[in-house]
Amino acid sequence: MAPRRIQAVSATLSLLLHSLLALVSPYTYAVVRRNARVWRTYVWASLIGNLGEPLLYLAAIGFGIGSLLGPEGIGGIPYDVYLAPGILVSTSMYTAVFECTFGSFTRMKPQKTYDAILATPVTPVELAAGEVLTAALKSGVGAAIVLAVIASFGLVWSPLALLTVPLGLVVGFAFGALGLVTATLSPDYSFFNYFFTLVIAPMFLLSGIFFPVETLPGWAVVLAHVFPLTHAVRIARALTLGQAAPFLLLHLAALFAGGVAATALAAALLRRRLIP
Amino acid sequence: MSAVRARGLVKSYRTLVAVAGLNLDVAEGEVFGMLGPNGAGKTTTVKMVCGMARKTGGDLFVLGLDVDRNLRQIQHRLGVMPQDDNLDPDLTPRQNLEVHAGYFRLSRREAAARASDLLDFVQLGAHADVPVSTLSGGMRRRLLLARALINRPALLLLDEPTVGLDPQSRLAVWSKVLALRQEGVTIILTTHAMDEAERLCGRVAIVDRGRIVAEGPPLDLIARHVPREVVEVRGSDGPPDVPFWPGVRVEHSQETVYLYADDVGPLLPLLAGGGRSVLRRRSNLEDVFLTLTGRDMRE
Repeated sequence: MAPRRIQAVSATLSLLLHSLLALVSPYTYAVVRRNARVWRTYVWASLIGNLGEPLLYLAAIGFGIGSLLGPEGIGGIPYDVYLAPGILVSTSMYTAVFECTFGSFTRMKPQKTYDAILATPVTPVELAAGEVLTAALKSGVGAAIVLAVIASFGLVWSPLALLTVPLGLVVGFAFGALGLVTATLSPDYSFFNYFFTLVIAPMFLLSGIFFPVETLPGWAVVLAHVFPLTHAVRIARALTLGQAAPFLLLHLAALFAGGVAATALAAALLRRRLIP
Repeated sequence: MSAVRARGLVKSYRTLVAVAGLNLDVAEGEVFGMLGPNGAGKTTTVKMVCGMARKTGGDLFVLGLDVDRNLRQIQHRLGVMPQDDNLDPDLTPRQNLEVHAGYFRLSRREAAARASDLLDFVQLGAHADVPVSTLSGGMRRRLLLARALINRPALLLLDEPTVGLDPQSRLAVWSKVLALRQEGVTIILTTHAMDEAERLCGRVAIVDRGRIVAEGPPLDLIARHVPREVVEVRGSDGPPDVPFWPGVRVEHSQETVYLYADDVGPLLPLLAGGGRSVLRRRSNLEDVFLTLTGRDMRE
């Protein structure tokens, strides 16, 4: 390999390693604490947002379409029971991508909060990790709230469902990182339209939340398996139905690894953008 | 040890060279001013010192440490008051300070104690717990100064600390800077307010086109670069005609003519009348600045 190629590879590896280490850095948690402090000032509004939308989906689609499908549901699982874990995971996803697109962009550009932070000992990697972990935290809370709701409706069949809360954290981590990559590339807020329309919405609809991925045409099945959300839905559904199997850990590891890689990319982009 | 030592410092962007081989030595405990027109490279230099811009050439040591290798260590001992207001609008002044303390890994208790002290220092004690958005421009600048002090920095960078402030607020910020100077904090400030530089700085550098063109204590610079006195002559309609006198330097700028000499007394009777307004004054840093960087607009 040419020396330049070696240099690029070692820089990439070092960035990935730093992103991983940043997950346990105290500087990262200073950023998380900043966000948590702001969150406290409007915590009720954000919790109601977490509660309201999943309830609407469960009511309109779960019970609506569910009554059309009858007690057979999908593969013998009543439709509302089938849908509930998908709604939990998609709530985590949306919480994280909103946090790390609109939220992060607001801190980065109009508020210049990132400039204030980067003049302190916090590094760009720690800043990116702090933002992504904030999203993970909020997604975890969102998952817990949705879990409480679906459990109270009797849509949860196993105590394994408690593990959907840490799953929500990991989903938030992966999608927060993806959102942060988008934010660091955005010239303005309208750029997020592309992201939500071309990436998030297809993922929401085709990741097996509403119907089994396998019923899609062949090319779409392949596409669906590329979506990280498909993996998350699969894990969540196995947990609420009580069908956990060791291979689910692979799906989880894939989500986590994707999150680390996207955090590293976001950090590199952040550095390029804010520290010329 | 110098607080800042730059040798051949260069910062170039794709199409622009912002800093073009700048040499700089700032001693510990001094208040050092960087003056220069817009785009001269002052802010870029400050940003390289605090790690908010990456140099493209030369050497830069801050507090004895190389910015390329020990940036985090440097940043732990640096206070930065940016030109742009980047206070956290979602937090109160007290929370702004406490959160900022977290980035330096100060304990919660230490952060709270320092925040209270600093809010008193910048006279914001009465506004400590209201939303930042309700603060006036002057209060916000003072809060930015307090925030820059939360880690008890060995080096304080003030990037145009009083830009856009009313005279009272300017004086308030100045008195804080003078108090810090008394305590022996090393300060680098950029400004284009010459009175600010004369008042606060022990030494100033005049920066133009990315280089330092003159450097020294304000009074020395005045003595070195311009005669002792100036007469400003303004015509009632357009620039006045002023005859040539030997030994008198004449400069034209817009509708004003400046006559420089060590003693302008003999000129005054000759300038009187003719609808001209005539003002005699001592030369100041602004005259040095305009002499060295020219009177033409830069942007």
